[in-house]
Amino acid sequence: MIEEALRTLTEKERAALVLRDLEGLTTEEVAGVLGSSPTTVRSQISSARVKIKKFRDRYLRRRP
Amino acid sequence: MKCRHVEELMPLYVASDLPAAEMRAVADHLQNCEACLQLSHEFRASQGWLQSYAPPALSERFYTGLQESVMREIQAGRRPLFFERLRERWFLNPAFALAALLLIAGAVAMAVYMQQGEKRVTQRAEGTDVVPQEQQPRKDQDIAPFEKPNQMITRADSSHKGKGVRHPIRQIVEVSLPEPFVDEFENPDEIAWQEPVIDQEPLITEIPGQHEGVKPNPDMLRIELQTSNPSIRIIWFTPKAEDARKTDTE
Repeated sequence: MIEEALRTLTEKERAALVLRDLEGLTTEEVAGVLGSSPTTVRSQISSARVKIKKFRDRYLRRRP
Repeated sequence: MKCRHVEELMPLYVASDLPAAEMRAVADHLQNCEACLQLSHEFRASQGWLQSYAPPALSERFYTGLQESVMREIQAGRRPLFFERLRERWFLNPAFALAALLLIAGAVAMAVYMQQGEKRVTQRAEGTDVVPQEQQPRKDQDIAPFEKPNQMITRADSSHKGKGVRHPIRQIVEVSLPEPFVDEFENPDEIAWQEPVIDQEPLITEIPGQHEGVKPNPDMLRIELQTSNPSIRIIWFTPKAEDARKTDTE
């Protein structure tokens, strides 16, 4: 299920979200790993979380 | 802060990814807005669902033990390289290292010496070994004619061609003397005059000629004899007749 949810994300959003929420890295650490700025990482994480929420809401509405 | 702005910041607010000022602002708004508060609950549930799939957090001790175990297995299954074994044995023993170094140096020197020897043998077989010029034996043709016994050298010039120009000496011509003449030359002080074998009468001039290397002497006669060989002319100077008779009587 989580794999399907992560497939709805772009590559950069997926990388940022996995490093931040699944691996537990801070925003600055994620920026260092991905070679981006913390502001860019925050933007990517925010859009990724919105997509994950929408996926979850659709999944719950389909469940009997 | 407006709800639209709070909705944009909500994904970051639920994970405490906002700066402190914005965190306080959103928190204050949520106290007064039920809709935004409901939205924050939904986002927190989604985060919880996502993090439920996160791998379990392991202790530092577990990771250290795991790393040591993996390295042990790697070392056990790996054969040391030749140079690593050599270093373990020779590194702390300078005597062995010095002996090995001397052995290598000796082998290199021997190889160079043998190579030089082969090169010398090859040169001798090809005849390319050079002998200095002065050490080489002189061939017969290299010996000047005047060095041979019983022979006289005459000077040859090309003045017989009638151009009236005296040319420098072009060649040294070898002339063999008859046997009686040879005996006379062994004692130059007693040379007897003998008629040379010539084709024409001798050209006698009282005017001293110009001969290269000889200063004209008014008391001398210059006699030229042309031999059968057109490129050979015999030239000699003799005192005049009155002087010759005077010399004989004296």
